[in-house]
Amino acid sequence: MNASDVISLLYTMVLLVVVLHSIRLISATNRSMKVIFFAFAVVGLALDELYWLTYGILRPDTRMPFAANEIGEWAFFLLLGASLTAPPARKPSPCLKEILFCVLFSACNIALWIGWSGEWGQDIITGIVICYFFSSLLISVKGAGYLTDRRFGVVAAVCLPLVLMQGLTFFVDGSVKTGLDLACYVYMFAGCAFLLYRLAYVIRKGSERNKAGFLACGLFAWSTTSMYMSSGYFYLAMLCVCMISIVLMLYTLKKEVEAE
Amino acid sequence: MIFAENILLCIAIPLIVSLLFVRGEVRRYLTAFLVGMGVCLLSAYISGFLNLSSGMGENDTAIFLSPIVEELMKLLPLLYFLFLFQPGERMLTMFAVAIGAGFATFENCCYILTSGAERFSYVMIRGMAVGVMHIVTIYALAVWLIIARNLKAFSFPAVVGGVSISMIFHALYNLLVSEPGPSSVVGYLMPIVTAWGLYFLYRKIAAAFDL
Repeated sequence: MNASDVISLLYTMVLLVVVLHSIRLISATNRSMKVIFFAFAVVGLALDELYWLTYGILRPDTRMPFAANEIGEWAFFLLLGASLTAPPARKPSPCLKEILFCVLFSACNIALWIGWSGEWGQDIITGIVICYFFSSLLISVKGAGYLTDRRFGVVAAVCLPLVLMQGLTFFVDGSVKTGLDLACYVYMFAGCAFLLYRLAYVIRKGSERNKAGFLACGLFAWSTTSMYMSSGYFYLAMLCVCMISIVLMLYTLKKEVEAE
Repeated sequence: MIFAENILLCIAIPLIVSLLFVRGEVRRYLTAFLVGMGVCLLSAYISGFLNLSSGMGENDTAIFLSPIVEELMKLLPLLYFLFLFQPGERMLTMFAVAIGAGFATFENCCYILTSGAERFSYVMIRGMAVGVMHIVTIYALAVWLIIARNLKAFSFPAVVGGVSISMIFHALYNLLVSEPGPSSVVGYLMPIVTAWGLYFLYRKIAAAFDL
C-alpha cells in the first residue's frame, strides 16, 4: 500500500462520514434545499472515490479505458452548482463578464488537460461541468453581494496567470520548465493558504453566515483546479486540501442552517 | 448467440394481451414494465454498437460503458412520463419501479438463456443482485426528481447530477462483480444493502416533505 492508496482510503472514509453527517442534518433541518443537495452531491463524490479504490485493488497497474469514476465528480459539481443558484438564492441580472471569465478559464483548463492526458471526450465534459460549477459559484457570490467589480478583477487576476504559467510549461524544457513548475506549485499552495486563512477569519468572526460557505466552495474550486494541474506528491497534497475543504463545507453549511 | 427481439416478443405478447383486461394502476404498471423491457433491448443495441465502434471489447464495454447507457435509457421514459403527465409522487415512484423491474426481468431472461439456469444458487444471486440493482437505481432517481421538484430546484443540472449518481453506483456494481472472489460477494450484496438504506432514507425525506 503506497501513499496514494492511503490518502485515497482516508479521503473515502472522510467522504462517507460527511455523507452520514449530511443525512443526519437532513432530518435535523426542515427541508433545507442546500443540505439535501449537498448530501446527494457528496454521495456522488464518495462513490467516485470508492470506484477509484476498487479499481486500484481489482486491476492494479492497468489504465482505465474509460474513467467511469469521473461521473461521480460530475454529479458533485452539478448538484453543488444547482444548489448554489436554485431559489431562494438571488441571481444578479448582469453577470455576463463572470460567465465569460468562467468559460475562458474552463476552456484554458480543458486545453491543458487534453495536452497532458490526450483524453478529449472526458476532459471536455469535465470542463463543461466545472465551468457550470464556477459560474454558479460566482453568480451566487455576486447575488449575495460579496463579489464587487474590484473583487472580481482580483479573482480574474489571480486565476488567469496560473493557466498562463501552466501553458508556458509546454513550450520550455530543462531547468526553466522545472522552475516554472515549482513556481506554479508555490502559487497554487499560496492560493489555498490564503483561502484557508480567510475562511478561518470569517468563521471566527461569525457575523456573515453564508460568506464562510462561499469561501469553502471557493477553496474546493481552487484546490480541485490545482489538483488537476498537479502530479505525484503535490497531487496528494492537493487531494488533502480538497478533503479539508469538503469538511469545511459541511461545517459552514451546518452553521448556516443552525443560524436559520 | 440469442435472438433478444424474439425473446422480448415472446414475453411481451401475453403482457400486452393482459393490458386489455386490466384497468387503472395495474394497467399503468404493466405498461411501464413493458417500457422497461423495451428500454433494455434498446440499451443492448447501443452498448453493442459502442462495443464495436470503440473497440474496447465486450467485457470492458459491459463494465465501463453499459452503466451509462442503461441508466440514461431508463431515465428517458421516466422524464417523458414526468413532463407529459405531471404525475404525483406515488405514481412516479410506481412508474420508476415498474421500468426497473421490466428492465431487470428482460436482462435476466436473456442472461439465463445465454448461460443456462442449472445452478439454482447462481440464478438466485443473479435475481437478487441485478434485479434489485436496476430497481434501486431508478427508484433513487425518481425519489431525487421528486425532491428536486418539491424544492422548486428541478433543473437540467439537477437531473443530470441525479442520473450521474445512478450511473456511478451501477458502474461500481459492474466493476465489483466483474472479478471473482470477495469483490463479487460485496457487489452482489451492494444492491440489497442500498435498498435497505434507501428505504430508511426515503422515510426520513418523506417525513420532511409530507410525501
